[in-house]
Amino acid sequence: MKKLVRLISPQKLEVYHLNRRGELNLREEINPRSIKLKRIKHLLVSANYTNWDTTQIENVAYKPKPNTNLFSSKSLFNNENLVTSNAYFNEQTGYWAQAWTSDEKLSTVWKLVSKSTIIYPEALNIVCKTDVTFWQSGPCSLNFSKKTGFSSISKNNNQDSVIAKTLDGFLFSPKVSFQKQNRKAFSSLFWPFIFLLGSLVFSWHYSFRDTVNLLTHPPATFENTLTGLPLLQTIQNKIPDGALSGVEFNQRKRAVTLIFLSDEIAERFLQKVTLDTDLKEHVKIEKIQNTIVLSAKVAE
Amino acid sequence: MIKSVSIYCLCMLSAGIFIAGFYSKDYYKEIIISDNQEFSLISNDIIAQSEWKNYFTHDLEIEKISENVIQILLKDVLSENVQPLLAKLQQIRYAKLHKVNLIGNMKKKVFEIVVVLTVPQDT
Repeated sequence: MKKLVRLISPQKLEVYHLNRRGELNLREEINPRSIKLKRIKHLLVSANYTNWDTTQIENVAYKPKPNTNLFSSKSLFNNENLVTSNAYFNEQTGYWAQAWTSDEKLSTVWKLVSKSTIIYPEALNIVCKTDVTFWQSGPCSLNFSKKTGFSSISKNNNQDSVIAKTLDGFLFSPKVSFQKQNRKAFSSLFWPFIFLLGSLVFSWHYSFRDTVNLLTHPPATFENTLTGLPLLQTIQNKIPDGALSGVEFNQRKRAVTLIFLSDEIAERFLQKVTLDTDLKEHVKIEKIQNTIVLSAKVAE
Repeated sequence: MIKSVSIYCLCMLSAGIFIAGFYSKDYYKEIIISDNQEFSLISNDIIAQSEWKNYFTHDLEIEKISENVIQILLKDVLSENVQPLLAKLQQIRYAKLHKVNLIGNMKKKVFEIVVVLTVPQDT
């Protein structure tokens, strides 16, 4: 059982219970100012608050764009102040229906309820079982037309006709509505999105950029082991104390250059190392005056 | 309901990104601080004498030979310091070691070490 509220005028409000068959059962009549309506989700409004019309369109493939005003020529409001409902096509009757109202009028309703409340103009959402049932909707009496599937202002001047004062026993069939849901959803998600964007920008500039760069483009590293050092350690016993004036490690050529104090010392060292067959096998030895260049032999 | 969940998720996601940002900064700092050769990745610091002096813990001179080639001259190296300095040279990671000259000074009984390094272009 759902609760449905019907706003007839600024001074009159009716509360209905809606059963599973869509039938309305009147519970109470109250003054809108005496209760808080912010929590209600569905509000039925009388003809006091909206205008509406129905029409047949020959082109069966016609699909109006959102915010299309089917009855713009019939509206007395400026486009700036006009609020239209969605256009609704009744497939059983082939009629289109749309409601419209002024922004000002709708604002008075939305002041009473929350912005997420869906507002239903009752002329387009109330269904009667017969064509001869009339009901009072604000200043107008309405009657349902089976031909269109919607209600219209009654032109029946017969004083004997019974006009229902409430919607007790009528059927509610939601079709056409006014709602601010989308705009509110957007506005409520706007700041969280800005917050998300801000956190992304901040974190990127604060740290993510450096960390990502470090992980995706790690700096080039080099292996700088001195290739001639093990060779020098092998032959150091053969070098007389105080005989060297310098040593040069050439990484590109994988060579060690020993600079002796004199040509004679270099010659004596050369004779010593040439006796070492194991060394001669793996190392290329060259003598240029007082320097001896030892380099690893490249396998041919 | 969906809207509330969306807002909650967006807020939680934003908070998560903030926390991850701070965590990532700490992680980055940890990597950089633990690297005693980080200075050699910065183009201005690669020729900074003080940075290399801290690394070798020895007095030195730096000469920029070309855009990406530098020469380091370690003067008055005592014989017992030669081996540790050679070890430190071999530990250089972000520059390529090309030549190491070990020149002895018989009078002073010290060594002079001349090192030629190339640094990658994008540092």
